[in-house]
Amino acid sequence: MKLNFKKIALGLVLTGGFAGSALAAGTAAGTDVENLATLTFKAEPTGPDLVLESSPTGNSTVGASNGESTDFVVDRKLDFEVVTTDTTLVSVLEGDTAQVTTFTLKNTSNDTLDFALAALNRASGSMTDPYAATDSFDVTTATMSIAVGGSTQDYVDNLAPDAMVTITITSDIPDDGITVANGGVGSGDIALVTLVAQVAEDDDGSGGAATPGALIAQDSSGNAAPGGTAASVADDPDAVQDVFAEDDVEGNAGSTIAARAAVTHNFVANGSGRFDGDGAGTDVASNGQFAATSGYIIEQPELVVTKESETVWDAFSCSVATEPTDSTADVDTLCGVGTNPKAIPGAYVRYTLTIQNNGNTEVTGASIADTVDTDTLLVVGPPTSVVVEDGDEAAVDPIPTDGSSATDLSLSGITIAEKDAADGDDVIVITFFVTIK
Amino acid sequence: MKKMNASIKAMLFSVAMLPLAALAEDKVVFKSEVFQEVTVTEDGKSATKLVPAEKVLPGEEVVYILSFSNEGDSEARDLVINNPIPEHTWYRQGSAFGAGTQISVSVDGGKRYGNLIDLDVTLANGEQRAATFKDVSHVRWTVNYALQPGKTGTVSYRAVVQ
Repeated sequence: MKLNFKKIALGLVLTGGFAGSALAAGTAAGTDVENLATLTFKAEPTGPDLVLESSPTGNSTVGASNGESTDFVVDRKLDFEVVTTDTTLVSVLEGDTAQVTTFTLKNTSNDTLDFALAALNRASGSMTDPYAATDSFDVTTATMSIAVGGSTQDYVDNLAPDAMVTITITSDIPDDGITVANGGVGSGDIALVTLVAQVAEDDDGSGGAATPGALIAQDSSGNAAPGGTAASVADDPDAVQDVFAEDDVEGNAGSTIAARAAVTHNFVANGSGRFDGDGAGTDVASNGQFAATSGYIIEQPELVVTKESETVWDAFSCSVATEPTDSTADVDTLCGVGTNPKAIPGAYVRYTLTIQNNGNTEVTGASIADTVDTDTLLVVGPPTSVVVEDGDEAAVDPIPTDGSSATDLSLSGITIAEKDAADGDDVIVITFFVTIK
Repeated sequence: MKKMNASIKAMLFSVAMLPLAALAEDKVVFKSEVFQEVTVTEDGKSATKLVPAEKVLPGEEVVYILSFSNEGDSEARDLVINNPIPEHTWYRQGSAFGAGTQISVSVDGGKRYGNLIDLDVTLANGEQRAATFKDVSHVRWTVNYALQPGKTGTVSYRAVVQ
């Protein structure tokens, strides 16, 4: 009867479409795969056909239901993948809070699983994946948080085979108050963050609470997760056994675990709490963990202003008798060759303001104001000059409006292009005269 | 068609005539075993060998070996081995083997047998398409020789876990 039943069952499967019914993740762990063959023969030349079913050890009893199927259990393939969905580094400003990097975790195992998550603040050093970026600062580790599907939690609960969830790491960007020129963190600096997923048991069968199950610290094939001990488990055709099947991740030393102390990982820290980037702690395949890296890039202007002064004319030292009218002319032209103007009452002093943008973002609508010393008076009007040196002239647009008074220099509507190695850096030079009272 | 009728009739007959068939009991022993092929390195050389299928993951292949021995004192003849492909697996195309046998497969639950390339599958809308290995439902070996007393024959095929 068993044989007949099997034929009926197969017939039904055929009606429903025999091919393509399996999940991409494959046959569920624990499924029994049964094989029963039949041998038809004659014992005597004119005798009846005898039907003999197979058995694992050999069956010689003719007739239906006398055989026994040859079985094995499909084991548990612990396979999953973490990728970032950020296509570029996330653009931030110094001091920004709650900046989000985004990842997905897909369970390609043949069983429902939980996953514990950790967010790593990567070490300084270059990485090839995914942006060939070089980490040069850390986000504020204490504020890093992980969310799964929008809910702040550091684990994934009950992820079915072939199911995928979106996971975010939210970070604050520090503001050190120091410019890049002075050795601080700023424009162009990059902080990389890594999401590590560690496979865990789906625990809802025992507890029911939405908590991560026990971490699966080793499989049955001699592989261990970081912190676990490789176990040699004898093969058993009747038991579901675990096999770590996930890939390795890009290899680079990691940094502080911000979110989940229970997850150890094999990115190695140095003694200072930052990570040395020596590549010693690289992930390997089949260790129950998968990680992906995204990150932040600081994109902001960074202006450097310098101010210099020079006495260019006085009525007694100069061979040129007329008061200066061109703030960009040199002293020889303004005062006369071989002369040496002095800072006496009535003398003209030239101030030179130099403004450079060392950042990676253009500044528009910038205003410049300068209140002159109370012992001097600003020479207002045409003598004030604004020029752009060494750069792209089109970047200063519109031409600044001169709103100066006798005591205040005021310029507005200035555009200052970002630092650009390709066509040289814009340097805005503003020159103006004051006279000494 | 003639063959199919004969084999179905034979099966029904054997079930109905169990007491008579008992006369020939304990004569032929039929065994099904399942293995995995693994690569082992011994003395610096790698070689494949078959081990019992104990750690099997989706996508992996198993090898079924069916052996039949004549432990009686007269020959057994007209041997036909039929193996429905186990549920949750796909037949590995071209993997069926058996010295001195004619091999055919079925893609319709054992109604029709032939070479896989000659078989079609009828879709729900009545259209037909060429059968693929995923459609194989049965493998059949028709043994060309009579199994003499004391002799053993084997046939085999491979299946991939879905």
